[in-house]
Amino acid sequence: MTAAWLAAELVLVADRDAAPGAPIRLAASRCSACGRCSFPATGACAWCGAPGSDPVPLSRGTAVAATAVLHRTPGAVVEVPFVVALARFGQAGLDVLGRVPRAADPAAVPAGTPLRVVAESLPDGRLHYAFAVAQ
Amino acid sequence: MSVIIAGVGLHPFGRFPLSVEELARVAATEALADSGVAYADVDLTIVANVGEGMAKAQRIAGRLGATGRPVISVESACASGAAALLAGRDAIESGRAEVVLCLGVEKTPRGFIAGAGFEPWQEASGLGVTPVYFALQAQELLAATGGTVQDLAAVSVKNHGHGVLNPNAMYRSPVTAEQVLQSKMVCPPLTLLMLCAPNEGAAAVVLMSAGQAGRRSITRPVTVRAVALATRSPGDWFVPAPSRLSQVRSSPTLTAAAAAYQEAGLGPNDLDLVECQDTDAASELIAYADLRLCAPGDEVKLLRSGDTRIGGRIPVNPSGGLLSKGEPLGASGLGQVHELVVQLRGQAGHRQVSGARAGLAHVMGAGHVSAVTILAAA
Repeated sequence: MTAAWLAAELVLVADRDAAPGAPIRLAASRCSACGRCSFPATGACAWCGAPGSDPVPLSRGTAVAATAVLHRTPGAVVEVPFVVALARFGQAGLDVLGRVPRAADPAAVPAGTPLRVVAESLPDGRLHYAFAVAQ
Repeated sequence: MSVIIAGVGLHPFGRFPLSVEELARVAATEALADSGVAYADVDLTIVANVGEGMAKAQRIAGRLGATGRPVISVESACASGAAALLAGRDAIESGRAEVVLCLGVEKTPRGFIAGAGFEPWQEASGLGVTPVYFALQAQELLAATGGTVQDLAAVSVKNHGHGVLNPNAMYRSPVTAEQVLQSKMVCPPLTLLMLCAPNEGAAAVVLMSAGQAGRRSITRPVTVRAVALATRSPGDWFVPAPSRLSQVRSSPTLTAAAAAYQEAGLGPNDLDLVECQDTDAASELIAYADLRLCAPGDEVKLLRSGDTRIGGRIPVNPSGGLLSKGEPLGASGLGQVHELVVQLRGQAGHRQVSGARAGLAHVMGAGHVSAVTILAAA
């Protein structure tokens, strides 16, 4: 058992023992009725309300757009500044928001940049998902 | 049955050493006087507010008198004022009420707007930040339209230029593009002067049936032609959703605008002015296409044409918009209605849109709530 997760339900059970920096998979869901995906995974479909769904792992995406947070916001445990990107996961048809902690500025994550989902250690010791520019 | 706006009132937007009840009382008293209605004649009071607690509507309206009549509260984030107008219009159309007071008021805490529906994990990990959403929308808009940060600055320059002419605005100094671009960077490409400031204020609207308006000889009545409210469809993305579908791009504003145009029997070409939700400079440009003032992709072209300035073909935010007025959440939607009514009556002074006969107000906020109101001179 590694450190506690900020929100364990966002990460596949099999990846919850990952070390900081290691690749992980996000736990999205695909609706059995309408076929659309949701993240975070939902019991009932976020779009059509149907109850049944199958798990969908998200591991590799590409940047759609990026910005940065330069000033600390209420409730945040992370240090500023940091880059935030919207990553597109093509097979799931989902765009997901995440931090890119190692990017110096948004220009380092232009649209189309390949991104990988990784475990990130937060300053309070908990783990959370983040994006890393894939080599 | 047509519903008439018989009176409007406003407490200026800004920061004041006054209670929320006092801000509301000032606006309500002005609207009642403007319409010639005593509070004892109001059948229903609807209070729009986000931040106050339990029984807030009764506490706020209690300053106007104890009439024993129904007082209710509506909350729909930035669209709260439009939600109040929707409920008031429906109460009159249904015959349940003849005279309704819609009263929006807010004392928003300083700084980033908290409590916008984010999960604790979003806030802790730095993702629960409303300007991030606006900044990413701005990046996508610039990429799709060929616009630049100069265009974003131009929106702020335009609206602050209008705000100079509005005695009720919080910021009444003109700004230059250089000042906008050199102000503090918040979330690239958005600088502080491209974002509206949460603040305080109140706005009130007296609605009545056309029959009442006739009996009371209301002068210069304005007709509520449409009020439409929409929430998230699968193609939409806004605060606080951590993800969105990749393929469909839509907006609750498109949905609300389509419903409002249909209800009003008017189209974008019939409008003389628009007040829209310029939470940030890019949000105004996005609203241009969502409200069908231009085709998608032509937002920057419309801005550069000068048509959205006072004196142009379709002035947008002649009041100065939220960028100049600031945004008291519960009051901002009815504040837009106040501006439309003043304009449609020809009482807007130096910022008057000449010959204004029909106008549209648009609010949008957390929870993917968007509302579109269309008013016309009766």
